[in-house]
Amino acid sequence: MADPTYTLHFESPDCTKANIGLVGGKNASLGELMEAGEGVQVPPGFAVTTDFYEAFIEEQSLGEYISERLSTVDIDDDNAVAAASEDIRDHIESADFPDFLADELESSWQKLQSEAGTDDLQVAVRSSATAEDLPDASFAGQQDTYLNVTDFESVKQRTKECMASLFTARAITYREKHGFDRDEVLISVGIQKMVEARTSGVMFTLNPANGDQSKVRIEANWGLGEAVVSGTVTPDSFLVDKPVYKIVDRNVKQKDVMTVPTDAGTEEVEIDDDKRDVPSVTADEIVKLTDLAKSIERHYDEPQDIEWAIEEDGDDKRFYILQSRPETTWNEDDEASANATSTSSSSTAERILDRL
Amino acid sequence: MGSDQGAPATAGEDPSGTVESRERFPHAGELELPEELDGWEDMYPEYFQFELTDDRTDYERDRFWFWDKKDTTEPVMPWDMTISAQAWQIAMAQNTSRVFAIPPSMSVDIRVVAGYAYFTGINVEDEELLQERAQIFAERSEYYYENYDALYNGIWLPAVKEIGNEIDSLDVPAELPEYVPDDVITEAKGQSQSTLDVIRNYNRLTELALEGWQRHFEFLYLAYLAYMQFTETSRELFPDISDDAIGKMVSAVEADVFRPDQELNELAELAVELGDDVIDVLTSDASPDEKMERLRETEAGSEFMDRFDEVKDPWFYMTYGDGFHSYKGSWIEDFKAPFDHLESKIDRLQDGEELGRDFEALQDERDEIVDEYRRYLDPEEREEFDHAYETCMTVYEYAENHQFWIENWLHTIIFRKMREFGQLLVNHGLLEDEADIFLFNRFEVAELLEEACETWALGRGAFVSERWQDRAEERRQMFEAAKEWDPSPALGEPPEEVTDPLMQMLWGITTEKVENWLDIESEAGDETNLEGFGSSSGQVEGPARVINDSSDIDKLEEGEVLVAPLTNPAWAPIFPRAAGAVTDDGGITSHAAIVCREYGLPAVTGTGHATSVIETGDLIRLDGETGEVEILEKAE
Repeated sequence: MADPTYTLHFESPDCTKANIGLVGGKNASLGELMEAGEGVQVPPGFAVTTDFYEAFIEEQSLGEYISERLSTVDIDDDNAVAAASEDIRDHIESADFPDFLADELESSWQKLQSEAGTDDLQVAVRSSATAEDLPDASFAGQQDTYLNVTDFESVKQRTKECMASLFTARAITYREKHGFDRDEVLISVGIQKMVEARTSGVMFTLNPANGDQSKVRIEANWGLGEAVVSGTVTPDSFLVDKPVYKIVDRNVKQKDVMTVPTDAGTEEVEIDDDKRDVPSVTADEIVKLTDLAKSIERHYDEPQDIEWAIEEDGDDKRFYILQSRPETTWNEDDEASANATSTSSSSTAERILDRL
Repeated sequence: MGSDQGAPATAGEDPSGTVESRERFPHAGELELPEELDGWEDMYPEYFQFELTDDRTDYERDRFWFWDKKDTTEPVMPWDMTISAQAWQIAMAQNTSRVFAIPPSMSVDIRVVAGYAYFTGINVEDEELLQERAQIFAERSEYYYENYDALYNGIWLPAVKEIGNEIDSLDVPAELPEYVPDDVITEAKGQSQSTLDVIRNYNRLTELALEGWQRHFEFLYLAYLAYMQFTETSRELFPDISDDAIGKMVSAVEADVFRPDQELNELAELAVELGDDVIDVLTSDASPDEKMERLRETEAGSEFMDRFDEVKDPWFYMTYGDGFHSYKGSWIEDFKAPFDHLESKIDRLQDGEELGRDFEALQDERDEIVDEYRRYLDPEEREEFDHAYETCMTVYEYAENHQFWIENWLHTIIFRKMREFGQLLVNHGLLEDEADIFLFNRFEVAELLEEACETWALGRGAFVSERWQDRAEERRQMFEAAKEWDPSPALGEPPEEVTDPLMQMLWGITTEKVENWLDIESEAGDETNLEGFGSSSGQVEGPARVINDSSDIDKLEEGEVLVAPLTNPAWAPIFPRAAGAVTDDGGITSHAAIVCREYGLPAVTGTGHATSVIETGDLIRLDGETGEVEILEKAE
């Protein structure tokens, strides 16, 4: 792309793996998910691109400062690295976005607001590293997700903080030791609507108990998905036969706690008595989730582990996919060896005899 | 245990060591039959009787006998037994014992109580014998699987048609002649050929009827075993897969048993195309005969009738019941059903509805589901799946085809020919009504015909005994009483576990079902929930219509849930009216299940006793996936 692209909506056909250098891995995977099929929606949002970051660093002459500051640091001296990290991050966080970037960010923000149909839009701001093959933690820092961000000023500030997370002490040490060129170290930031989930959960596009790929295992709880993911609640659990959408195993549990958003992030609260024993998803929703699971699995062409959420506001119901990654417990090799006792050469009569 | 009175009785201690004891079903000798049935034993061959001698009684009481409700929903008349229990005892038993040697299933032994058949499965446990049979089974069944098309279309179907055509051509005089024809003299034949022909042709008829039934079983178990192999393969490859999903993969089979309904659809479409001349007659209140006569008066009507005549043989050789009852009749003899169906089909066409199963759509849906399951397999598993699926789809059509050709087409011809013999007996004063012939068993009819020949031989004015007529009258009453009697679902010792694959597949008899029967025997309480096989998916709610007698099927109204001992292929044309179906019997491969799937009718089969728990007008809900039936509200 010749002209710089400063922000990019997740729905854009350019927000894909092919442009990881522009939007980073996290944003690219969200864009990619939108390609997985009709109906597969991630919570709306956009990427603040590496072009944006580069222009920001360039315009505010932050590059020179960073180079200079790092050139004097003894990389083996942890205290010295930590001090440099702090200085650099302060500089980034206190610099202003030049007007043309601030305007671009604001217009994307407003667009997101109108899309979400609300004035008190809450977003998550998180960093999206460009070097997918490197461990995120070492490369881009860890403290890179800010939840419940509500106004534009805060969005700007959190965006800068995410960008600054490129310069944690660990990230600096890692890059210097591995000889990365300082100018090529870039970061993108994702700004995404926070889901007000009625129900959330995870689903595996196979039966995790036996690797049977004709099933999808759906686990669900009221509220946000953290309680399910972290295992603090035993979720409702459903096993669905994918081709015919039949629920072949259903386990509605007594659910004691759920995760809800707070100003500071999230917390676990007790579930109301009248909802504890009630299934947190309906049969129709299970069918829809199964459809989504099938589309996503087909798109990636391998079994997936998917996080999802359902928002419900009056008659308006939305299914969101938050994340999908390959399911790694059962891979092809395991299955092949498990079924080593092949019966492929036997006749119908012999096969029947085996079963009598 | 022994022969204590009353049921249910106790049969020793529970093997789990608890004090709880297992119950058993009554023995045949403990059954309390109504007085009107006294002497029913004389109607059927002796070898079907329970508890004839001490040693036979010991053998019988050691076994578990279940009522073959699938085939003898209603009692079978003495002669009709020739082509049911009698044929089964020879043909069904040898098919597993001595023809294909299906290793664990030696055969089925049969007894009859007041016209109802009871079966007991005889299994093989001896390891050496199992091995020996396995080898024979492997060779013989494989030959059939490999050559299905050539064997079925090349030999089976022509052979069955030949049997039917030969029966049809057997000459039965309405009356024996006053004097033998001249050629007996001029060609020196010595004797009346007519008496010889009557005896010979009756013997030939019974021979051919039994031969037809040998054909009936020829591929049947192989078809079911291929189906079983496919279901088991599916269950291994896709643990937790539902019966319903497996059913969907083998649906949309283009079987002959659906042809009568298809032909009616085409006739209805033709009628609409031909216009008012034809439609007005077909939708009028006239009788079938009047309709046919009036149609032949117009050009358009004649065109319709030409097509009707073209398809009626063989496709309207469709029995009103399940084929086992001579008194139910057949479409070809009483066109009421096809003309009623034509009328409602024309109505539906005029309302803009499409008729029948959209076969291609059903096939597409099926293929899509099959393809999706296949996608979830690795190449090796896929090969195994494909092999099982292809075999199943090749031979499974037989499970449906034979029912048209034997139970409907051939039975229509057999019963029709028997009525000719009946008429002969009426004309010679031995019987009052031609249908009375069916009140006598195969051997008694031979005696009757001989007696007719004897009295004829005695010459004009010879004495004719009225005892046959009196006996017919007695038996007619006895038979009506048998219809009212409610047989025990089983007799004797319940098995710890039902393991016979054929028993489960064909009769839907499972360990749970036997337990369930025992509970009902002892409680007979107010039930509101029934469980069966989820045989055809979909959930519906509606008023129940209990159809115990298949000739009442007309009473089913739009939106009602059909509740019947079994569904019947001849009912296919009225299925679009039903909201769903619940049956007493039938496993997942039963005709009941198959027919419902083919017509997309939500169904729960094999509930055991829906027809006795549910009453017409009850509001019920059925779930064709879970197999649950609930009575929501009893009728007032």
